[in-house]
Amino acid sequence: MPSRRPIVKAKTTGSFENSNSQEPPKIPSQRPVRRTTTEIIEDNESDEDIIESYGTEDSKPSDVDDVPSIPRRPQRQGLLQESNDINKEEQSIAYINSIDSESSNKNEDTTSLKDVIPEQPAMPERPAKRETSEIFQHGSNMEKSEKKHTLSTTDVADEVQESPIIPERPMRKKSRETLSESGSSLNSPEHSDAIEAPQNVPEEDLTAPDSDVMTSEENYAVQKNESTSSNNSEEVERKRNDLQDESSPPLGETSVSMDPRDEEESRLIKNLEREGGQHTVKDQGNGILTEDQKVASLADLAAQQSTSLLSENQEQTALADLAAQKEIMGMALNDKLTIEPVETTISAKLSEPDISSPVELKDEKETSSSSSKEKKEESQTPTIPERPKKRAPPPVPKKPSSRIAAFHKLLERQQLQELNASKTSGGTEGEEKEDKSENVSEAVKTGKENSINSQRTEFARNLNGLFALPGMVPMDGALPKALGKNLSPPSENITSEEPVVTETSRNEVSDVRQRRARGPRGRKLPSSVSNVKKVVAENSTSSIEVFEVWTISNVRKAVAEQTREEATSAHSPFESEISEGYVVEEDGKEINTAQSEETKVTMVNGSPSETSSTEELEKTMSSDEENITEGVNHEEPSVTSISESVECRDENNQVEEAELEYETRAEKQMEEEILKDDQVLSDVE
Amino acid sequence: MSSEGDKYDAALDLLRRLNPVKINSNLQNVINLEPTLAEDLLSSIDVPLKISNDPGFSNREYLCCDYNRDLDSFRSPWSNEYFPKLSDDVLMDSPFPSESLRQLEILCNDSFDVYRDLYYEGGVSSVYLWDLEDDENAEDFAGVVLFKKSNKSKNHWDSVHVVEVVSTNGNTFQYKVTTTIILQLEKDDSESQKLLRLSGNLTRQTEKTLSVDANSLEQTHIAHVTNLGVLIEDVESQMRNLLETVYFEKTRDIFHQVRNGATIEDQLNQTAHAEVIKGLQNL
Repeated sequence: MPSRRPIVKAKTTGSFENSNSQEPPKIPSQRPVRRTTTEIIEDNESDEDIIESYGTEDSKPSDVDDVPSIPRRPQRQGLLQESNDINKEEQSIAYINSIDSESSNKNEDTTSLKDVIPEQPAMPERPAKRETSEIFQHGSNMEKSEKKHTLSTTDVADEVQESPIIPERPMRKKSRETLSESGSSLNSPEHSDAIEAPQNVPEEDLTAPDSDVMTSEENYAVQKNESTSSNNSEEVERKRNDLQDESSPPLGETSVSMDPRDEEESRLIKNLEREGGQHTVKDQGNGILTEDQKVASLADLAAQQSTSLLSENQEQTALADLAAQKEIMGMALNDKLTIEPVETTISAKLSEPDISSPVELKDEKETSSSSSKEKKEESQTPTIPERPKKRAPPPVPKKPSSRIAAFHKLLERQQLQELNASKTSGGTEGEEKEDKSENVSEAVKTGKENSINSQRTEFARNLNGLFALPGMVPMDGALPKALGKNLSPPSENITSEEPVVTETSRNEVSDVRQRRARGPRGRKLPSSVSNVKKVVAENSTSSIEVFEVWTISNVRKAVAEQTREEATSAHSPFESEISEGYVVEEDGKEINTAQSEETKVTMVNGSPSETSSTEELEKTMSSDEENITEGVNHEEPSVTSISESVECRDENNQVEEAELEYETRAEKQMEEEILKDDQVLSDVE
Repeated sequence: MSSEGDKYDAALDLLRRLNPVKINSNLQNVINLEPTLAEDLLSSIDVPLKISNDPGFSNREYLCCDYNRDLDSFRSPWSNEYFPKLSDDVLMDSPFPSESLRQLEILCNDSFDVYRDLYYEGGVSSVYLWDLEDDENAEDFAGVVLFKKSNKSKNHWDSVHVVEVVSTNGNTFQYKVTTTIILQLEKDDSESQKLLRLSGNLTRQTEKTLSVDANSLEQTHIAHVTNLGVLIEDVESQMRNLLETVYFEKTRDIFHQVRNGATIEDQLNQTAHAEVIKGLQNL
């Protein structure tokens, strides 16, 4: 509150300064007055709404959606709860008066408000719109509902006749824009506090530039009244008298000097003052007479209203003076109840609903005051359907990254497809298919209960092929759905002139080996190919044969000698001497036979063969004799290996002896030759 | 390996695994190894198309393949003549389309030239048609639709659509299209002596049975051209997408596996996505 007041003060003071340079010091005293009036008006929730609907629909019937004040209702209800009942009563009284004045302008019976309700014209509110637009032009950050509230109050008071100024629709749009911009803060309590400031502005603006002086003065007077109301009753009475003295002269001046339009505006201002005065009546109850008298005088000056209206006003003022506060409260409640149906009916008429609803509401309101609030809500129900439109947009969810959003969409589609497939039974939900998202959400809700387990499994299984990761091979050789859709031939959509009878397109990977159409017949191969002769590989005639080359057996010399001795003598110590024999294999592998063995093992091409018979041994021995010279074993070098021969040599001393003999022979021969040579030389010499 | 079919299959398997850039030389080598397979291999192995000029048709370019070849000459679709010129004796036996089929061939060439202009914005196209050998029905025919686009470098795109149109029942025809796309991309940076080459071929077969209005020969031809055009357009677009989304993407994946150029943020994103997917799979 305090933070915003200075701003509004500056505006109001600015306007006052323009109007009257002497007044500015009094401005602070005026502001509370207006604030109180606005608060009073705000306190009455139903009245406010009614007036809003009245003003908007009357001015612009086509704009049914212009109910910007709806979101504020809870706040105002809070204010209503917080405010005093006295204020409500007084405000209701003020409305009664204003409605009576309207009804009197129309020359209708104002005895019963019910009769007035349907007959209230909706047209004369355009000036109010102009005022709102003007209010917004002044740059105040008012909310539209508040503006309309002020408008409605002014309209209900006296502005019905002030239709010459046509509201500027562009300005109204501008106000809407500002409203929409500030719509988010409608429900905030700060905003409700801020309502007070703009309400002062429109009331000031309501007065035309010509009547700024009037408004300032009159407001000043009203504020003074309020200030007195806050003091003791005696002071209040004194100041009331002063105020009468002060307020009457400017009113008279303005009324005399002004044009008819100015007169109307002054009348409007008077009504505002009258509301303020009644507000003071609520607060105090003592200064009512002065205010009522003032109102009566203003009404007389206007002189356009009917005498019946005046009488009713006077009666009401008298009632207000005489009746106790409790009675006034009761009146106020009743009047309030009566006013509400009026407004609802007006709105209903403008919005072209059935007439029955307001009538029913009227009857209900007459019954009891306790149920009035509930009925009030019921009466407001016609406007409720508009609320969703005016609600502030839901908070925008945080936007995930585009990939995740796309992923969510994909999941939704997937779920939708699965649920549609499995939701054959639950067809009732499919009736509402306005939005896919809604359907998806509903379907998901229902589907979860039914077959969530199976869906999970299916869902998880289906996800395997949905997302392609680097290095991921499509499952089962099939492409992913998205990719397959992308790659699917678009020919299905193509409508050729000739109807397609059957279409069997195969996107499979065909076998390359499958023959395709051969070329035209009669072609001849190109020269590079036709001259080619096939190279035939000839079979080779050579063949490989494997056969035995040789075998060798090495036997000791002693064995040979013994064989000789055996041959000479019949005695044959065969067995013992054979043991020292060696048989050498072809590959050089030595096989040493046991000394006591009678058998001799011979290896022929690696395959051992036993010769157990002595005859064979004799044959071999005899054959070996040929190879054995005296004292020396003649070994075929190709048969025995060097190592074996060396071993044999080492084992046989005969070999060494033989070698020694050879050496000695050689030496002797050498010596002889040398001697011969020496002899020859000596002979020669 | 004894039968002829086995040899043929072995030759195809071998050529499929050899370097596609050297497909001509490899094909020649295989033919040298087994000359009896020459005709089959030449008709079944697609090699990059050659461009020749038709001196009888103001040197208009046409494409050369095995289907319009006779000896070492290639028939031009524009003048319907073989270039280089063949001798009269040889020309007597050279294949030419029948008169009605030639009309269809002209129509197809004109139509696919428009297609080529729209899709390739350049390049050369040629259509060759011929009558089927075992043709009981005179309406059956076969043909090949060729597209080639290349610039002065070695990069080229070759599309070979071998079409076989067989009448199945009255006015319905079965269109069998064997499409081969030969793509070679090569970037030769002579300064740094770096060579990047990407080449390969892709073959797919598609069959469709479509009806043709056979009220008149001209309408039949138009219907054939329409059906073939739609079919080839579909197949070619599909294969292009396949190349782009599968093969190039796979190549790109491999390239990134070899040398990962992703930043840390990208890696974190990938891991986050992988976790999300894993969590969803565990649902």
